[in-house]
Amino acid sequence: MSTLLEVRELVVAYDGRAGQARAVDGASLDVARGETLALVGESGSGKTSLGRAILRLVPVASGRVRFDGDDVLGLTGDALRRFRRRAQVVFQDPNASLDPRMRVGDVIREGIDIHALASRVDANQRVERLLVEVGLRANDAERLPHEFSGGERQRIAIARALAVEPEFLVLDEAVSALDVLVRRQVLDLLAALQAARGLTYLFIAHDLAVVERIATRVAVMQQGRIVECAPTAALFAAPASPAAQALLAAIPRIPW
Amino acid sequence: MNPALLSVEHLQVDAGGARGAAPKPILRGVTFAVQPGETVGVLGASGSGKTSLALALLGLLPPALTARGRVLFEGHELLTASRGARRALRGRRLSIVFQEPLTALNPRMRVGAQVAEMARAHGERDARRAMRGAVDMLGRVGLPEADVRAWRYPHELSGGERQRVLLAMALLLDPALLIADEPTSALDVTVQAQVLELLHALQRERGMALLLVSHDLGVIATSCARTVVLHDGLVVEDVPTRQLLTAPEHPQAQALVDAVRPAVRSA
Amino acid sequence: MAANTWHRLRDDRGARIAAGVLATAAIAATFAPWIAPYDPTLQPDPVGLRLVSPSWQHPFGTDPFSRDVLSRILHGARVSLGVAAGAMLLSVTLGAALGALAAVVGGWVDGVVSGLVDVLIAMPRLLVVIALVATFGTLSPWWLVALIGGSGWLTTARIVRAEFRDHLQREYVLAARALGASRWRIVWHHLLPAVAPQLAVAAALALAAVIPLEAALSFVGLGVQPPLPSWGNILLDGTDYLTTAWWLVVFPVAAVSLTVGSALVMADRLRVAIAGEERDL
Repeated sequence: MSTLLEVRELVVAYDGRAGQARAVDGASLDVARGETLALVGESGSGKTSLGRAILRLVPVASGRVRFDGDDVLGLTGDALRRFRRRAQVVFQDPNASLDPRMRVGDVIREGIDIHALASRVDANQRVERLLVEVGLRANDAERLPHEFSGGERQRIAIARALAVEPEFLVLDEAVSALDVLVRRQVLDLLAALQAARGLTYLFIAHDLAVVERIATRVAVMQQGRIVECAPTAALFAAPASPAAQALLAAIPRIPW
Repeated sequence: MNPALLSVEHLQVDAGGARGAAPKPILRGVTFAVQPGETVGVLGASGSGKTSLALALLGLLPPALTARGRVLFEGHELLTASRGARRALRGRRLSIVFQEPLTALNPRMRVGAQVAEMARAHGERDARRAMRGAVDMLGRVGLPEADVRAWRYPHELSGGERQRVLLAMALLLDPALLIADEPTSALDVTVQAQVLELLHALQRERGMALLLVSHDLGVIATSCARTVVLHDGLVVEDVPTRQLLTAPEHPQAQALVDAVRPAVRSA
Repeated sequence: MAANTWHRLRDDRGARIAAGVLATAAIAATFAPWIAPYDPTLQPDPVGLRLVSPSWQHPFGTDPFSRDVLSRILHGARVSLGVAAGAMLLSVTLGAALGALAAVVGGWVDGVVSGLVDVLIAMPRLLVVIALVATFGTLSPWWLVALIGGSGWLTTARIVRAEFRDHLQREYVLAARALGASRWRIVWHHLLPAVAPQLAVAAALALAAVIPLEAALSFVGLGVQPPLPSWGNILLDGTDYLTTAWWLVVFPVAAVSLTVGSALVMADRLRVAIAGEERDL
């Protein structure tokens, strides 16, 4: 399998100034095409900053990010816009990540409009197909976000990300705010979409139990660094780093 | 037979019909009981009515919601009790801890003072004694350097520390029953484990009854001997937790059990 | 504005009355040349028809120059409300543009705009405008619009800057950036709609502020110049006869009060409707 994403010695400072405390302190990882790499750590470990830095959403102090061979950090203008089509994101908070004033159809169509991917009519058809693909209804396009539940809003956010036909998706704690049943449904949806569209995922989470189902490999982050990276089964069977051990120990021990 | 500590009988909660619209039922006749010292989990997905249940028991429902039925706590009828009577019970015999500690705490008051306030609201006249009791309690709920942190404001503490402050407030007067409504959902998973362990330890140490409301069976199964499953405003199962894990009957219960089953990994 | 806010406003008695008053004033102003019974500048009989109290032929009476007061009030509405509306639009647009610029571009631009606002807001607007007008001598209504409007952008700029900065932190803006949205797109499609309700309130308040401002200027002879009628200078014409010819005072003052009051009520009802919408969202 080829490597789609390569991150080397990435450093991200809090509030963007050099010499300040570092959210990401020299992190390195690889993501192979088609795999799901889970990035886990406690809050404050830097995993969200790392995800956002890879997508050029926060300023990077130093390091390298290569996406399909291209240097991501040096991109500007049209090249940067093209990158944004290929690498998308779904955020954690279903209440905050959708513009409350926009109709759902417009929310999903925004990416199509920005990149001029289809005519008006075609765009609306694409939106309806996407809604159905994520498990909602075509006429939901007319409604406003607040009319939907948390799980449904995450589906809308997923549809929005898919509208530009990305190859790579950063899921930034995308199911952490959902209740267990809905979480399972959304995870199943993500797995189905990955298979159908050949997507590559970077799955950021703080809960190892969530990750167990869908990740091929797990990278553990602590204080801005990747302290362990292993295939899922291996990590669960024999975690080497104290951070991984703590995360594993935190999973509730259910007396089956 | 010993009378139950808490007995809920046919509890109904409706969202009031605004402008002539039909009232929406949230709880449709919930019945269950909690014995002294027992640990009971209320398991339900979002929309099952579980949070309204917790609020109704303490008389904390928002004005738009109305409750009917019987709720007996230590022999007192809670639903029809006067506000004064309920306030006297709350905190002293019956306490609640919520999901979001930041909104439950007064942002302008130091946390130690808020805990001490609990004592003073229930009759402690000596301010110094109240404060000492507060710091002591904060220490017992595992707040590191309690004598220092007691003087901090809520926003200066982490999520886990704030939740401990809420626990201190809830347990200060040694209630007979603690209701915890999603007490760890807003917390990091390692902190969640610590807070649950703390709850469990305190419950055992004081012989306190615990009613733990959550959507996550993982949270309930480690602390509760019995589980009541709530679905669409009704109790669909009321069994020992072990039994629920091995042989859930109702499809909703089945789904909730499956949701926490560890993945079967291919070799 | 979202449909809900509109419905909320529509059902609101206060809003309906206020809107009705303002609409009536606007219509009267627009159609004054056709509605007014007399020519407002005509002095048919400076001796005989001088200072006639309200009657069937002259419902609002006549002024010291035998001009029909009703006609002057109607034509005055054209000028007063026209200047007020123009000044309001100018100040709100200018304020929104500068506030948006400060919030979106940030850096030294924000420093300059914020600094300007902080310094200028301390100055009493009326005195500033009087000083400016007096320097330039008598001015045409267009210049009045420019001066009054140009002096009123400060509060709107502050509001828009604060709102934009708040929304720029929100996750849905980050999501738009991740989609590749340009800054302009974010401002136009996300931030402006978010701030539009507050701008409506600001506009109503601005209107309530500039109507009396223009009237005051005209009253002291610095605003609209005769023979062009404005509510302020109608009042000015009547100053010597305040005790004897009450109609020269009551009608212009009533006109100003009713429109200003309605604008304020509108602003208040808008705020309530917006708060209701926020709850729903």
